[in-house]
Amino acid sequence: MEDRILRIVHGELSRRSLLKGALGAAALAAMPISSIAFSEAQALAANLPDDFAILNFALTLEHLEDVAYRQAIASGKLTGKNQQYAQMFGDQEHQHVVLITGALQQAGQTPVAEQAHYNFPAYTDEHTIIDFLRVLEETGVGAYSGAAQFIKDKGILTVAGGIQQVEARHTAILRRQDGMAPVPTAFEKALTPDMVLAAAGPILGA
Amino acid sequence: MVTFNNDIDVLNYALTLEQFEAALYKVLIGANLLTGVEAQYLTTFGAQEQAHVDTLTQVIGQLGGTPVTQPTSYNFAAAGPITNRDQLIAVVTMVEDLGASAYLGAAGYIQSRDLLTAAVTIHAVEAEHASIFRDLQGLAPAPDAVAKGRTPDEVLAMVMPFLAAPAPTPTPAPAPAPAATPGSHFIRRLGDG
Repeated sequence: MEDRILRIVHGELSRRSLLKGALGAAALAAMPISSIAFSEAQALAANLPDDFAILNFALTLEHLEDVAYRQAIASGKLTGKNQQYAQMFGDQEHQHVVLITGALQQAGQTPVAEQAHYNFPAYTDEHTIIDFLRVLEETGVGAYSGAAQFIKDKGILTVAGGIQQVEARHTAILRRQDGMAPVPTAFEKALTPDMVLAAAGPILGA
Repeated sequence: MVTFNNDIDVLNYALTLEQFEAALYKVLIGANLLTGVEAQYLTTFGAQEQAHVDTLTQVIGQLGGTPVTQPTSYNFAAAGPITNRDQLIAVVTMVEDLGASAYLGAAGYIQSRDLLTAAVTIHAVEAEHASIFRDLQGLAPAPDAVAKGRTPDEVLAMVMPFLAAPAPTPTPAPAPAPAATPGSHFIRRLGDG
């Protein structure tokens, strides 16, 4: 099982092919898609065996943010400062994707790819979009914070911390744009990989 | 060159900065230069810096260490004049950006996994404070896609002017033997080993 999880993280198996092997076709058909994603995600979350797995975990979220921002800008629904922030922050999320992808490739690893589809909420209005982007950024900070203790390489820790800091900067602004207090607590909650995947699992889909 | 012998040293480094920040906020709030939501940010963020001081002090004690003593005064004049809203926000932005970069630059020194997690949760909040104040000045909330850390030596160089005693008023009497300047314990501690 552990080897299979590593192979997911390294992008060598699609979720579907993995699940068929683990559960059998009948079980697969009987279970709702979202719960399959959760259980697999939870198994994955229990094992972050090395820095490359952590980077691929982070890259999964960065792709999600990158696409969410891209679609937010393309929706044409953002105005004024919201539009400016989305462009600024979206560009930085894309840079995160490029950076982590490049780092993994240089290390001879397989970076997870951007998904063809994500389960975003419908971008019907500006508030919905800003609220969703806020949730993504908040989850991003928490994810990096929760993963930090597992990172073995000090260089990777510094880069991850540098990205986490930027996610935090985005979060404060988007909270404010979302009508919330920009910094509600003195300590920005770290999320375990389980908690991150519980939040992101449904969006990532199967 | 600043070196850390253990996690307590790293925490005391953070505590030194947080004490400075908390004290700065108190002075800035007392200056009454902000109104409305901006004044609220100052109050809220200042309370959060004090929470950082309190928590770090507690944790150091729990680990069997001695928390650094807060200096009795700081040389806030080193920040330049703070007579209006713009000057105030520029100063607090600089300090918060510095705090964020300090935590980022210190992360690699922390040995305990739990302490590292705690440090990154504080690191994020310093960055959030900086982000809001930068935005209030029309600056990009996040100037870089990946934030840069500062080494303890770099941070120390920027903080030193605030830790030094203000220049004494000239008097005809001979100068007394110099007393320890506020923050000298910080310099000695970080300079040890």
